[in-house]
Amino acid sequence: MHSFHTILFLALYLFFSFCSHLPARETDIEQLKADIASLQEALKRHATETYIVIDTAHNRLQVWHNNQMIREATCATGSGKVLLHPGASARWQFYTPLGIRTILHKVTDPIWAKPLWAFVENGEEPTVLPWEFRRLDRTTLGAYALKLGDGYEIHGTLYPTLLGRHITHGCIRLNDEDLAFVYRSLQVGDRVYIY
Amino acid sequence: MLLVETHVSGQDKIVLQNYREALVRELDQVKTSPDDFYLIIDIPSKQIHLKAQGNVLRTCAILSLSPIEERHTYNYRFVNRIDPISVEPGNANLRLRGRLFPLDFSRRLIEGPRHRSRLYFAPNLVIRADGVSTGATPHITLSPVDIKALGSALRPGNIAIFIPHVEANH
Repeated sequence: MHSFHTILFLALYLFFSFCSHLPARETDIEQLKADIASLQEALKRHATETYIVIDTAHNRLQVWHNNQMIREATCATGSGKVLLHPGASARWQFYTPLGIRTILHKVTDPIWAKPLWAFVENGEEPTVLPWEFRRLDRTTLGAYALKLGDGYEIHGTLYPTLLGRHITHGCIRLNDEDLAFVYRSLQVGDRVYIY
Repeated sequence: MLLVETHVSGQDKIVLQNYREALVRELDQVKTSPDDFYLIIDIPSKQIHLKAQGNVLRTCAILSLSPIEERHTYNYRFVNRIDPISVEPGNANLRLRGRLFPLDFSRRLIEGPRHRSRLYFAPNLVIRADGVSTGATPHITLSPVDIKALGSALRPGNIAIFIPHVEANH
């Protein structure tokens, strides 16, 4: 009886050892495929349907939908310039911020309330009151603006020949057609990935 | 014939296991560091994907690669970027009418990523453009345009999930 158990144990041991060296079974492969599909689904829940990708190194803007690029455009991004206020009381650096942002507002016919640096840059006397007429500009930003927070926006341009260059004060400029497409395609809350 | 089929099946299993492990790691990355960019280095499909929050931001074709010892899915960590040109100390703080000297746009051009930048990962991996020497360090070669883009995207500490190639004799 004792030897029977020993033989049985050895037989089982040999059987399982043999099984462990067998090639993958169909069921293993199917299980792995099911795991992968489930993980991909979980990953999709974190991803967004429509989003913008901005490559500041090459001044390219892409609109993606369901992980497919549906539009690519030439844009203009921050120059990297540093501007000092006379007397060095203020300092501005005109970089497009890298990282992940969200579209906070969509605006048609945006009015640009010129900040202080716009006056300093042109050597003009800055206005004192924020609602002064000289501060308000109805043409520079184009037909639409998508606000990304901290004063950064995707907007139009009066100088389409300068697209493709590092020329802006940090905002992202597009030509009229691309801007209209972006405005129509993206919703408030959609992500903007800037690198 | 049967032997060949079962062998391929075993190899497929390892490939699928590696992809599953990469997805587990990516999901973990998305949950723990949702604001970070990361890379998926997919050796079997010869592509590197720049991603964030599960979204694909850029896909780069791998042009060539040196032998890399990793046989399993593995997390590399981006350490730093070394550019071929850095700011000359003597030119620091020179300004013309309140702007950096010598040119308004030079600061970005000098300090930003370049086509010949090298992207160093720990442990022991460099992503570089063709023709850039990195000695005996294991490396992956991309196009200069992709190098500049990834150089702009990556920050120290960002991870790169490496999916290895499965050899037929493994």
